[in-house]
Amino acid sequence: MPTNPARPHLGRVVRAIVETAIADELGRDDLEGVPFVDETAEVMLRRLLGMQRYLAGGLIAMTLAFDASTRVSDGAVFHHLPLPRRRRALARVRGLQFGVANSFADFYGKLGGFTFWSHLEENHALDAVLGRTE
Amino acid sequence: MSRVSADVVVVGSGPGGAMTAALCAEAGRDVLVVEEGENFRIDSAPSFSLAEMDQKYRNGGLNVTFGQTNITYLEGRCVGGGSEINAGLYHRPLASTLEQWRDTTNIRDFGPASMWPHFEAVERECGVATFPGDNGPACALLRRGAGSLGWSTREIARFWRYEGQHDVVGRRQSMSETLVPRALRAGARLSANTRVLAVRHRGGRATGLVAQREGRRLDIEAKQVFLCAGAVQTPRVLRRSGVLHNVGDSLRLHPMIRVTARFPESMNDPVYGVPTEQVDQFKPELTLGCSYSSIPHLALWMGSDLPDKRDRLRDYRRTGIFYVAAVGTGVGTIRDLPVLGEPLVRLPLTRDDLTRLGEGLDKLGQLLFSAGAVEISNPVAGQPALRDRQALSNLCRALPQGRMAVSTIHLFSSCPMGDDDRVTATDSHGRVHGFSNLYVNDASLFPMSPAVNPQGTVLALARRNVLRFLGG
Repeated sequence: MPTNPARPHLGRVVRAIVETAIADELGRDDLEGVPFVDETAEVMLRRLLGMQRYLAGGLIAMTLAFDASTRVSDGAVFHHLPLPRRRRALARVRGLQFGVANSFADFYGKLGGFTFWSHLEENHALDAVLGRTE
Repeated sequence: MSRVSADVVVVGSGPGGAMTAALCAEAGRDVLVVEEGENFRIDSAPSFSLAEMDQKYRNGGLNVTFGQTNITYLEGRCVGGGSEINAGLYHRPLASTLEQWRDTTNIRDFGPASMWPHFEAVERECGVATFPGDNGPACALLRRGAGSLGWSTREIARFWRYEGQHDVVGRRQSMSETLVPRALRAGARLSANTRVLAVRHRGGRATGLVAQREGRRLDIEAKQVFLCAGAVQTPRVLRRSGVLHNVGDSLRLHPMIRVTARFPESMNDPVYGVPTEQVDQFKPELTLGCSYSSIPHLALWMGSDLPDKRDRLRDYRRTGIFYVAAVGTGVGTIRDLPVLGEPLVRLPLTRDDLTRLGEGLDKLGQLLFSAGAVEISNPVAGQPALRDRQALSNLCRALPQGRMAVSTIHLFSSCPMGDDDRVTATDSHGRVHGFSNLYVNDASLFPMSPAVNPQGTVLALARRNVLRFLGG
C-alpha cells in the first residue's frame, strides 16, 4: 500500500485497522479476493492526515496507542495479530462506552466501511462482494 | 508576496457570497470573490460520493463540535460552498420566525412583508423546482406512514432543474451553476484556492485582507469587504483579526439523528436522489424525513457491528435512512486556535435538545412502524435494533449523551445582526459594529434558527442586505 513516506509505521497500523473494519463489514475472518482493501486504507490514511491538525493529532495518538495496547492483552502489537484476533481487539474498543473510544471506533468502523463500500459502488464491484443485489 | 485590489472583496462563494458578488458586479462595482476551495464543475463527482467528499468538503467532511456529545458537521470548501454538497432543499421560513428574529435583536426594516419579495426573487432566479412527477417510493412510504397517523407531509422544492416530466435525476442549481457564473458574466473576478487569514483594518475601516494562495502570501486591498464564509469560518476570520464583539459567541445549529429502517417490500430507489418529502406536522421544532440511501450510506448509518450486514446491504432496496432534525437550543462558541489557524467549535447538546430529539425519534418510529417497518436501527452505539414501538419509546424517553451519532449541515447565528448591539455583532443590515465598510452576509447573521433548511433564507437575506448596500 502506498503510504505517506514520512509515516510508514502509522500507515501499517492504519491499514491493519482498516482491514479489520472491512472484515467486520463482511462478517468474515479473511479478506482473500476482496477488492479495494488497499485503496480504502489509502483513503483512510489520507483522511486521518487531512483532518484539522488538533483532531488528527489526537486520533493518530489514539491509533498508535491502540496498536501498542494489544501487546499486553494479546502478546503482540495490533498490526502483527492475525485477523480474527484483530477483530476481537477492535470489538473490545467498540464495547467501551466513552467518547474517545467511540470516536476512534466510528472513524475506522463507520468511515472505513463507508469508504470501502463507496469504492465498490464507484467501480461497479458491489456484486463481487455482495453477490447479486436486487 | 503578491498584491491585488478591488472595490468590493467578497470572501466565500457559497449562497451569501455568490448573491453578494452577483448583485454588486451587476451594479457595476469592481468585485473580487475570494474562495478557499477549488473551482470544480458541478458534475466533477457524483453527489454524496467519496470523490465529492474529497473534492468539495472541508477536511473531507470530518469536522466536529465539542461537547458532551460531539456533533459532526459538514462544510463545503469549493466554489459554490455548501450549495454544492447539501440536499438543495428550499423553504421559506414561517412568518412568525421572521417576526421573532426582528423582535429578538431589534432588526430594523425587517419582517415577513419586507422579506417575501426577496424570497420570490430567489425562487425566480435561482432555479427552485419540485419533482416533475412522482417523487419516488421512499417519499410515498413517508406519506403513507404519516397519512395513517393523520399527520401532514409536504414535498419540498429544491434548487434543481428538471428537463421534462420523466427526468427524475435533474441537475443541481448550486451557486457554481447560477449566481457565480452570473457574477463572472457581470465582470467579477474569482480567486479560488485562496485562503483568507485576516482582515486588515485601521480606525474602524477595513483596508484589505491578508490571504494565502498556493503557499504564498497575497495582500488584497479593498474598499469594501464582505465576509460570507459561513457560520464557522466568518467568525474565525473576524476573531483572528481582533474583531471580537459578539463574534463567535452564539453559534446555533439543527442537530440531526439518523436511523435505518427495514421494510418487507422494496421502498428505496437511489436513482431518485434525495427524497424530497418531509413531515411538517411538528414544525418548526421538529422535521422528519428520509435521506439519500445508497449502499455506502446505508453501511454508514446501519452500524458497524452487525453480523449479517452483508445480507442487509444485499437487500438494500428494502431499507432506507430516515432522520429527525430539531431546532437546537444549545449555544456554542467558535475560537480561532493560535498558530494552527483552525476553528475550535464548542457547543452543548442540551437536555432540551435530547428531549426534543427523543420526541422526534419516537414520532419517526411511530410513522415507520405504521408504514410497515419490521426493524429500526438503534441510534445508540452498540445497542440492538428496535423491533417494536414500545422498545423505541423506552429508548426515546432518555437518549444518552455521548453515545449517539449526531450530525448537522445547518450552522448559523455566530455573528447575529440587529440594532441591539448588546447581543449582536452587526447592525440590521450586516455591517460589523464599529466599522464603516466591513460586512457579514451569510448564515452567521441569523439571530436564531430559521427552523427550516437555511439556504433559501441565506440567499434572501443576502439579497436584502446587498440591495440596501448598493442603494444606500
